[in-house]
Amino acid sequence: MNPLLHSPTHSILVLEPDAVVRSTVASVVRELDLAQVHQAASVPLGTQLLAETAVNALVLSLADNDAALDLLTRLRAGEFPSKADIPVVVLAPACDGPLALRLKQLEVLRLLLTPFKIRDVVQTLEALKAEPLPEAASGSSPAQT
Amino acid sequence: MMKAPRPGNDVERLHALRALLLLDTPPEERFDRIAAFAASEFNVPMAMVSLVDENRQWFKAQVGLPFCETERDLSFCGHAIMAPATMVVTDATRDPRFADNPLVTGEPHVRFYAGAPLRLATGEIVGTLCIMDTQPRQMDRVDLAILGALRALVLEELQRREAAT
Repeated sequence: MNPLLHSPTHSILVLEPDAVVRSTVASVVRELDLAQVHQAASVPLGTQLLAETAVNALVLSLADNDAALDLLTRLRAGEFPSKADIPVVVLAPACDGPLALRLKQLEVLRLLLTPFKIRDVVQTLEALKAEPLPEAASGSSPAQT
Repeated sequence: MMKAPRPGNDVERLHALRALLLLDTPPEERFDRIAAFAASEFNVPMAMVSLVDENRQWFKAQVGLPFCETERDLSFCGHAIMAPATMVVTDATRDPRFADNPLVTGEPHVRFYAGAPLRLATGEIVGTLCIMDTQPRQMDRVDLAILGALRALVLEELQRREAAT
């Protein structure tokens, strides 16, 4: 068991406008004791939270495509207290070639296309248990893009 | 078949259920959406927000059923409200409580049932969020956590209405 996942500092941000998806992911992550969960219903709220709180992983909806990609770009550039190379799971309604390339450049851990299952999101986060996660506090160099 | 038992606090439970002012009201998107989400998430043909009334279970929201209520004595949810934990019947044809239940031997040919009880803040269990399949199934801890999380959303909506009335 990865002690980072059970340390008080381990936390995940779920940025998803759909309240059923967001609340369900957050509740299940808590129920399974995977991490502390922060929730944001919009990119502006998520940006504000990321500016104030270091997290160890991000679940990011691309419902607001451009703004969400801009947020992820800023995260990878090290503009937030979180480490720049934290794992990011992207939820998207669709994905074409250019978007797939962009997500690869931004080192997205996993892309889940609508209609994805909550189970897939949770199992992706569970799989992080098997890998050493970056600490929440910043200080590492930004991930190469 | 074992008829659905009655909890010791059924009078208080029915009082709490009726105080929600939901029985026999039209469908509402906020409940329909959760039932549809549950059916999709678990890939099952049937999902319901079921309220267990004195002599019937009535569906505030449902996916995949041709009726809006059944007799309480026949209902799986009537059993599920007896305890706060989610009740799982992996194969009703092998469960003596349900093997000869008309909902199993006839339409809609229920084989699998999982019902998460809707327990109000005051303690009464008024119904369930449940899923059903015509094939036997298992539920693992992730499935149980997801159904429990969706149940929490139903309870939030039930009690939001209760607070507003």
